[in-house]
Amino acid sequence: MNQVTETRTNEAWVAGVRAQDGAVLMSLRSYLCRSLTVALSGRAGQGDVEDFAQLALERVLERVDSFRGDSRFTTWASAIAIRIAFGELRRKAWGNESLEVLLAERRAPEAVTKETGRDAAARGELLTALKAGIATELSERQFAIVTAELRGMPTAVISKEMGMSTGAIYKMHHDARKKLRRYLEQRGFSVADLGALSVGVGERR
Amino acid sequence: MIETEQELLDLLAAIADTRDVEIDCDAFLDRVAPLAEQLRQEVALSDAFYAEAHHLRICSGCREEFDALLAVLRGE
Repeated sequence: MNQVTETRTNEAWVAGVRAQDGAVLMSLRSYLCRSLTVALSGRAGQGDVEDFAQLALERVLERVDSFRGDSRFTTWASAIAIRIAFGELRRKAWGNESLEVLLAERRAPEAVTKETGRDAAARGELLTALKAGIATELSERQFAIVTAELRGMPTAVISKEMGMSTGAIYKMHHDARKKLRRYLEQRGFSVADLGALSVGVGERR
Repeated sequence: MIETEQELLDLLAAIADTRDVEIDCDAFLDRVAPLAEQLRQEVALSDAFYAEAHHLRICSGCREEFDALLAVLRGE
């Protein structure tokens, strides 16, 4: 599809973008429209695709000096365009949902575990420990971030709701996971087994 | 409240895959283009992308965007 990419080198793209060469910018915008049409596969109309491509073009202009040349320029620009487009679509999809309401939402505990016996008991013990860890180890903000992410709220939306950067949200989520891992390890649960435990059976060290 | 067993199991899976040092979504974006080009060629991922591969497992948003980028590359 994107024959444009085959006819320009990275150096030509970078030089053209830096110089704000009209023909180069038009080619890039056109390329980004085609990329986004594939990337979004029907999730947005043509008008939105063109808007996202324009926003991406502006971002590429701002960031062109950070392009390291370790990929094709068009792949790098497409990644930026996709980040913008998905971010906008997620914000639109979650536009009427507030973090406060999401956190307050009660969800009835369902009976996922059907098995009985030693395995079920071990898993029950682990989940009880995890609940206790959530209650005692996490700050209010960490709890909010962990819960919102578990319930599918995109990081960009959480970031906007909490007035923090996406990097800060990720850091707090990471710190929360580390705290909970340490809490479980201190109670004798082997982290190596947690992955297996999360889909099946629990064992203590 | 985190009340359902499924939510707890999902959190447990994320805890199990937690590393002491991780990259965030912005750092991932900086490296996603060469990663996607390498995967598009269906060659084994080099160790240089260890942190990015881990981020893909942890972050559903970046995974969704990465899949979209791969679709673009594969459509060329």
